[in-house]
Amino acid sequence: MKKHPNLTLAAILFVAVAIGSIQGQRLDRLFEAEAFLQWIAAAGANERLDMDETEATVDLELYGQVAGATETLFAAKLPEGSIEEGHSALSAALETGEYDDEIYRMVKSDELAPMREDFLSKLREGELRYTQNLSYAAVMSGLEGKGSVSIFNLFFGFRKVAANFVWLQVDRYWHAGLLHRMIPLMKTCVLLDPNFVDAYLLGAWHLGYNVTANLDYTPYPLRQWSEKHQACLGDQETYYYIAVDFLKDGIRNNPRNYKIYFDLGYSMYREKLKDPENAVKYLTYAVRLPHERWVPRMLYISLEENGQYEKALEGWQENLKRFENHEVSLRFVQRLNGLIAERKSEEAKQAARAASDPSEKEAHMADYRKYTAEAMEIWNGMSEPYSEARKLRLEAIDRADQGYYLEAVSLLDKARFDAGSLFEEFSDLIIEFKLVGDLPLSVSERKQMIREEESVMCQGMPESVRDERLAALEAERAVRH
Amino acid sequence: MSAAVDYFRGPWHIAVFTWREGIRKKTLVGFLILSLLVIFASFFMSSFLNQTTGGGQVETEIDGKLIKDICVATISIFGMLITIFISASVVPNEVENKVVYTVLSKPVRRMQYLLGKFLGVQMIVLANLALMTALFLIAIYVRQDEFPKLLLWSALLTYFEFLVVSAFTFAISCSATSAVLPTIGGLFIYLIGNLTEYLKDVSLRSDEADFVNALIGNVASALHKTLPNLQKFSIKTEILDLNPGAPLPAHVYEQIPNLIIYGLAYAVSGYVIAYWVFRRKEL
Repeated sequence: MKKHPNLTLAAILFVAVAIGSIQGQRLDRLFEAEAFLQWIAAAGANERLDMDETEATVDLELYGQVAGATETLFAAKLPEGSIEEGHSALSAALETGEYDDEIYRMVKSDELAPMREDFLSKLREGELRYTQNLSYAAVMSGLEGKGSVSIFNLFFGFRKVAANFVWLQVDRYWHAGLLHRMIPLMKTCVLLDPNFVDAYLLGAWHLGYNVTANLDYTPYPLRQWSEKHQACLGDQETYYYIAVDFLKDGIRNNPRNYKIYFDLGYSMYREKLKDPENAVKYLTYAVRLPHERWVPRMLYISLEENGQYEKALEGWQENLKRFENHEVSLRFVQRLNGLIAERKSEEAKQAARAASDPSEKEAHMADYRKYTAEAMEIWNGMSEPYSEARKLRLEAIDRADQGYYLEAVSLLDKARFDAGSLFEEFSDLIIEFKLVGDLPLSVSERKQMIREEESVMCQGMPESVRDERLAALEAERAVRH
Repeated sequence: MSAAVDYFRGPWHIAVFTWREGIRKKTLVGFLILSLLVIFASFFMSSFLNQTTGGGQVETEIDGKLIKDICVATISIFGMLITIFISASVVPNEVENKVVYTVLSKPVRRMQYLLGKFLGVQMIVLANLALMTALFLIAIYVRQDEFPKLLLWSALLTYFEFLVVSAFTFAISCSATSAVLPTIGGLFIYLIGNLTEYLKDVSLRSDEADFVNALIGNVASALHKTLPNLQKFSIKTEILDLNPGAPLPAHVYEQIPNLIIYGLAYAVSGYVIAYWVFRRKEL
């Protein structure tokens, strides 16, 4: 140092810069691995939830390769029954976070190196779709493609603050009634901060509830067929599905947040799209993640609506164990027992109708009477409009079986106004009895039948889909009659 | 051992003196008060959200997020300004006041003097950062009733980002006679440090068939590999989105020590340049 101070200082400087440079490149590799990991998490959530993405074929193909390479490892580690049919072990391993460290090790390993390189090259070329959450890691390692100007750099790392201010503007637009201006800003907001969960939730709420509040109902013949959603969309439905897609993006970017699954399942599929099957699917995932205590109850309600009475009953009984003498749980347990008995009685009646052997027929009829009595006893034990209406329904069916259709209709007419939640179900039953009993239909009932027929067709619907749906409607009517 | 203690005694006294002098600077106190005010004001930011989201019709956690994001940004911006101002002024001010002549006439080497000054700067930066982080911790704790331990990791990484800027600003200040040029230089270092990634973009866009184009591309690539990239520290904001109750994910756990070494390597580079300049300075 004393003899050659300049040389020594130059050497120290060189070493320090070299360490910094090597370390910088090492960090780049780590950021690349993180980007790959985040993409796998998004693609895994997509596979787990069967979220159809026709535009994401490149993602699906690459994810298939990664899942294939890790299948043996995770299939051996995961508990039996945790991998759903048709899904990869990797997507099951990604669900809870228990295997995150292991997945990260795999992501960095030589075994996945060719796929990682493939991912990086596809990312640079902009071919991948599930990359919204990668901006941070991707830009760190120059992965956002040639000539791209990263929004991440534009805000000097303060893009989350920028997202907050964009959200304040969304809120202002909402209060000013400028709904059409909100959508692009909401998308900008989550682009700036893909982990802004409340932006997804409130954005979807605005789209699904507030924007559609002033829109009129679109009759089916005027609706447009959507290939992506396999549904007929009117003005309201278009916004519902924008909200659904928005929440699905939220799930891909935040696959461990129960709130987005809950809002998608309950607020959108159950409340707006009247699709209990999808409601059950997303609420089931919400319950698997850390959640608030009211979330499972919404799942049980959706299970009941989807006709899965036994599963719903199990859920409410479980809830009752956790919260002793919980009044709502008690009521739902009784109600589900009644519904299960009713279903058994109907199944017995159908079996009796189908049976040709008189003794077999009699046995089924005995079952029918037994289950009907059981259901009646349960409804008698409850004292609320719902149970009273169910009792009237049983009586109406009994009258109809004896050929007194007019009486049956008048009983159901009273019952449907006693319990509002049963209005649609009982109205359909009234139409059914009137048709079987050859009674005249009212104007609204005729309209309902026309609506039912129209609901299977809309503009732009492929003929194959239309025929399929018409056949399903005919089959359903045949069973009812 | 005692030789080492003797060697560092001088720098330590200088560091303490620098610290005492630094905390009396009105500009720095002004910045600190301003930053504390902004952090405190972040409590009320959610009132900008009308009834839809601000505790009216829908229950959300947006105000908690607002506090977090605004506080992290405030700490970064004001912390960086404090770092640049203090790093830019300690040496030029002493040269201007001629205090440096008195100090160097004592048995204190230039290396010791500079080390003391640099340590003093770091003490001031750390104290400011600790104060701002403490208020931020309180803000989050009051809002969420949960100790935000992830914030401590964020503050640690923020410090190493400051350290890199501080070292290079300090290097510029050693060649200057007033604090103005190093302050402007420090701001440019911060800006350039955040835009280093564009050099990679330049190298990717260069056409290898054309000699000049390829040359520019290679120079940009070399600069990208050697210059510090402050965007790498942006993980400090991402950390706050993680689940505070869960352990740090493996990838974050691996990035943090690597970022610390990265920051230290460039801080040493900055300090060596500072000494190189200062030892040749005519005093």
